[in-house]
Order: sequence, then C-alpha cells, then structure tokens
Amino acid sequence: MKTEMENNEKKVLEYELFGLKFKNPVWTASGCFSYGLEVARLYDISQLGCVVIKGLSLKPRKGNPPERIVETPAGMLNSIGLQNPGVEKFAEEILPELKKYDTKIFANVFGEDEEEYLAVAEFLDKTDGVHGLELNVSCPNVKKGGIAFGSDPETLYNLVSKMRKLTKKPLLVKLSPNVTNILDTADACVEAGADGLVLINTLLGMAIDVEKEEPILATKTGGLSGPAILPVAVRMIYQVYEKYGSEVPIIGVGGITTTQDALQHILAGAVAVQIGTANFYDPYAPLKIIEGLKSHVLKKEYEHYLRLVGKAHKLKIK
Amino acid sequence: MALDIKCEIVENRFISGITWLLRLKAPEIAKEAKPASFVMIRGVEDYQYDPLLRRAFAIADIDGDDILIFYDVYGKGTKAITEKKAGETISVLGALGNNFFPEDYDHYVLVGGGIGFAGLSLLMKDLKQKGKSFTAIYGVRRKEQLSMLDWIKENGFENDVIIYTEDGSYGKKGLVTEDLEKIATKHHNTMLAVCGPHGMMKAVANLAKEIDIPCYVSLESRMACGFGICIGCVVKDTEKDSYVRVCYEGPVFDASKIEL
Ligand SMILES: Cc1cc2nc3c(=O)[nH]c(=O)nc-3n(C[C@H](O)[C@H](O)[C@H](O)COP(=O)(O)OP(=O)(O)OC[C@H]3O[C@@H](n4cnc5c(N)ncnc54)[C@H](O)[C@@H]3O)c2cc1C
Ligand SMILES: Cc1cc2nc3c(=O)[nH]c(=O)nc-3n(C[C@H](O)[C@H](O)[C@H](O)COP(=O)(O)O)c2cc1C
Ligand code: FES
Repeated sequence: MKTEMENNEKKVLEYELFGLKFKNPVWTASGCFSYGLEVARLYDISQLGCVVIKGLSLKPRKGNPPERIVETPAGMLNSIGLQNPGVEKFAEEILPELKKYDTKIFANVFGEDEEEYLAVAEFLDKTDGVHGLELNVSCPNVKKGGIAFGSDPETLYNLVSKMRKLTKKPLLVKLSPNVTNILDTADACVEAGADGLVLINTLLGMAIDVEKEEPILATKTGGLSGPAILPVAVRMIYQVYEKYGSEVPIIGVGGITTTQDALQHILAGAVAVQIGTANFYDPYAPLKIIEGLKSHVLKKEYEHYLRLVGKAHKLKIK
Repeated sequence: MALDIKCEIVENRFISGITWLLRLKAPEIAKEAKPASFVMIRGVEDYQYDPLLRRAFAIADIDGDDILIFYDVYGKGTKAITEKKAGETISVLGALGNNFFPEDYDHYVLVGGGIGFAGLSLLMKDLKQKGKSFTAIYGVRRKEQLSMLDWIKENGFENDVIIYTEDGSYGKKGLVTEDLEKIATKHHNTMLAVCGPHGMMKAVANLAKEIDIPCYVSLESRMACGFGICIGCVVKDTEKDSYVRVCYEGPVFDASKIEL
C-alpha cells in the first residue's frame, strides 16, 4: 500500500515531452549551472528533470573582461560574454563525465553568425548524450551590425528553419524579452518548426558606480536576472500560451526561487521550469522546488502536475 | 565537498574600525577548511531578496567546531550580517576554493593588508603547528584598523607578526613593502603569501618579481555563487590567455601567472 502511494507520488511529476521521458519539470538554466559537474559536488544532479548547460559556440570564447557581475535590487546583472571551451572540447572533456548522471542534458547553442550557429547544431546533433538543443538568440549578430538574432523575426525565422533541417533532436528556442512584442518572435520560431519555446532570457540593464562615476560592468550593460524579473517572465509566458495553448510547449525561466514562483510559471502556461540565478544564492533551490511541486500537487489532489499547466487562463486542458 | 548549512551563530560583535567578528558553529566546514578556504554567507532570511547574493569571507581561524570570520562592513550584505544575534542561525556555504598555498617552501613571508590579514591568519597558524619557519607582516592605515591585533595576542603570535601603520600610530611607520626586500631575501627557498587590497598585492607582486622570489596571492573578486557555476569572478590567466574563476581555480594564484 505504502509503496503504491510512493509510486504515485513519484509519478505526479513525471512526463513525456519531445519523445523524451523527464523525471520532473524542474530544469536548471543555461549559464547558471556551468556544465553541471561543479554542482555534482554538492548534490546528486540525477535528481533534476534536465540540465541545460552553459552556452556553446564552435570556437572557444574567452568571454568579457571583469567586472562581469553586479548585484542589483532583488537581482543581478551579468556580462559573462559567453565564455566557453567550444563545442568539441566540451564533447571530449566534459560530456563523458556529465553523461554519467541519470538526467536529460540540453545544450545551449549560439554563434556570432548563422554559419557558426549551424555548425554547432550540426555537431551536437551527432553528439551522443546531448538530448536536445536550446537555441540562445540573445547574442548580437556580428554580420548584421550587432542586432541580436532574437529581436528580428525574419533573421530568427531563417536561422531556426535552417537549424530545423539539420537536427532531429528536440529544438527549443530561448526568446529574448528585449523586444516590443514577444509574439512576433514566438510566431517566427513556431513557423520555422521549433519544438518548443523557452521564455525568458535576461533583460538588458545597467548599474553605475556613483563614486567612480562610471558603469560597473566592463561592457557597460548586462543581462538582468533573479527575483526582479519574475513578473516579466510570467506575463510573457501567459501571452504566448494564450495564443498557442498546449500546442507549443513552453519552458519557463526567469526569477524562480521558490515553489510558488515555479507555480506561477506553470499556471501561466509553462510545462517545465528552469532555475537560474537562484542556484547562486540557494544552491539547493531546484531540489526544494521538486519536493515543493510534488507536495502542492498532492495537497491540491491533482492526479498530475500537468493539470496545472496554463490553468490561470481558465482554459480546459486536454 | 562543499555544503550549504544553517550555522548557529556563537558570537557576532563589533571589534574596531569597521570590522566585526563572527564565530559560527560549523563542524563540517571546520573539518574541511584549509588556509585560504572561504565561505559564502547570506545574512538575510531565505524569503528576503535584497541583498540577494551571498558575500565571500575567508575562514580566519578554526577553533574546534567553530570557524571565525573577520568582516569589514561596507554595504547591505555585510550590514545585514551585523544584525544577526548569537543563538540565531545564518546560511553558510563552504568550505570553498580549490587551490591553496604551496607547502614545499622552507620559509614563508606572509603579507596581509587590512582585513586581508584574515586571509592569512589560518596559514600562519598552520605553519606554526607544522613547525615551519615564517615571518608575518600586517599593515593598515591607522591603529583602529588593526582589528586582528587581539586575535594575534590571544593566539600567541605577538612575536611572529611585524605591524605597520601608515600614520605610525602603532608598530612601525610605513607600508608593508617598507622592509620587504630585506625580509624576503633573508632565508633560502622563501615564498611570499599575500592577501589584501589590490594595489598592495600588485606592489608586493612587482617587488617579488624584481627580487625573483615566488609570490602567491589570495584574491578577491565580485562573486555571485562562489562555487564555480556563474563564471563571474574571473581573473586573467596570462599563461593560458584565458579567464579563470577566482572561486574555483583559486582563490590562491601564482602572481606571475595572472593579470593583477
Ligand atoms: C575569497 C574572498 C574572501 C574574502 N574575505 C574577506 C574577509 O575575510 N573579510 C572581509 O571583510 N572581506 C572579505 N572579502 C570581501 C567581501 O566579500 C566584501 O567586502 C563584501 O562582499 C562586501 O559586501 P557588502 O555587502 O559590504 O558591499 P556591497 O557594496 O553591498 O556589495 C555589492 C556587491 O559587490 C561585491 N563586493 C563588494 N566589494 C567586494 C570586495 N572587496 N570583494 C569581493 N566582492 C565585493 C559584494 O559581494 C556584492 O556582490 C572577501 C572576498 C572574497 C572574494
Ligand atoms: C551568469 C549568467 C549566465 C548566463 N548565461 C547564459 C547562457 O550562456 N545562455 C543562455 O541562453 N542564457 C544564459 N543566462 C540566462 C539564464 O539562463 C536565464 O534565462 C536568466 O538568468 C533568467 O532566469 P533567472 O532569473 O532564474 O536567472 C545566463 C544568466 C546568468 C545570470
Ligand atoms: S563566483 Fe560564480 S564562478 Fe566564481
């Protein structure tokens, strides 16, 4: 009797998406978990639904000079500059270790131009142990005068459709919130054949040192993350879900520290959530949220957490 | 293996200048800590988001199950810690850092500037326990900033530490570099261990280069996580021409191999 109950308890968070079986809907966000191995020294990362690794480019990237981070009210700015060892070195040196953990691994993909994006995706498509791709389109497009890929629907459409042809692995696009209308870029990705959308990346911001009378970050501006951006993420998820419903899976990210925060994302329409900045100040946050979601679903007497997805819209979910 | 623990505060009191002393019951961390190990502390409740990030502090001493931290109070993170009372708990992540001072030298010259001395005090204790030969230098601007003076006396290091104040209000008058060349070249197979303000570390590292003596610095930098996952705390590794994490590849570095 008890084991049956325990089994049911476990099952309330299990789900299948993009043909993959996830243990639970709690993922870790790219750039906020390195490549997972540092955290594996703190706890068993097999408990996570999915690990989205730090962004990978084709060639190694040095990243930006310091200062790279600054604390802001209920948040932080970062301008890491996508420092990474390059996709080949990742596959050779890091992935074999990471693969040992029983969780899903999604790779965050980016490039300075379309060719680089596609080359990374092509490489990862053939890389065993990487279950899916998350396209980071918040980077400046060098060939287009530095306008971010993610802010121009046409550029985005071209990129995503070309990438779609390159890979059969689940292809998610992580949208930038630094746009006038999130539906424009969301539409472009859906039309181009993306399997799902990840909302949201960081918001562009700046902090100034009033003693030195200059911006604190070496790059002047940086991406805002943390609790401060929670309502922005929830609103954007709500907007996209309102249009597409359960047709287009949404992965929510932005400002989640607690189970309550994660529930807001889910009720707005996210089928899974990613934990980012919270890992820095509360390393066990993802584990607490897994437990918290389970208790919430049981307390509310739902047979499965999927019942909650998009519920704030008062729509009937299939 | 680092742990995130709610530690009981044994003592949290003002010492002098802007420095406070925090004594925490942290047996797991005490067991793992090495000289230059540090912890990340969050002085507010879990549901409070401003200040958001933890603050980094060196483990200045280990006393049985307790760890001691000497902290200077500047902004909202450190102010929040001062409001915590003995008997309450506080969130501590540690012991952190993966690279420490080399152990194979015959003589050590420790150079601590201001609160940076708290980054060397555990090394000093360790050297003494191992019967190794060392000289320690502790420099500040004014007498009130000698916040570790009582600790030095209570722990019997009075004769091991040369004290400098810039204004001459205590000990010798001048900067830590004043007699450093003489001190550092006195013994064979000597290394310098340095922790303090950026300008001071740079000055000592430059001198070390001139007189060709190995120099190891325990660095500070803005940290969001302290355990390697944000890549925010970097310093330039001039050998590899890449950025390395102070919290993970450090906090101790060979000064000749990084951009100070
Ligand atoms: C490995 C390491 C060991 C340290 N050991 C000690 C110690 O033993 N005693 C001590 O008093 N201080 C130590 N520091 C410095 C200490 O972390 C900062 O003084 C403290 O973070 C300032 O926080 P605040 O809330 O007072 O300032 P705020 O101005 O509110 O800080 C804003 C942000 O800037 C960061 N920041 C500001 N100044 C520094 C600095 N000097 N170094 C790193 N980050 C900074 C903060 O962490 C925070 O994220 C250490 C730093 C590091 C990296
Ligand atoms: C230090 C840092 C590095 C990040 N690096 C990446 C990255 O490489 N690729 C990416 O798509 N997003 C990156 N992000 C954005 C996060 O994945 C996430 O979308 C954002 O931080 C919002 O979530 P949060 O509020 O939970 O942190 C980074 C965020 C931070 C704070
Ligand atoms: S502080 Fe996050 S990597 Fe060092």
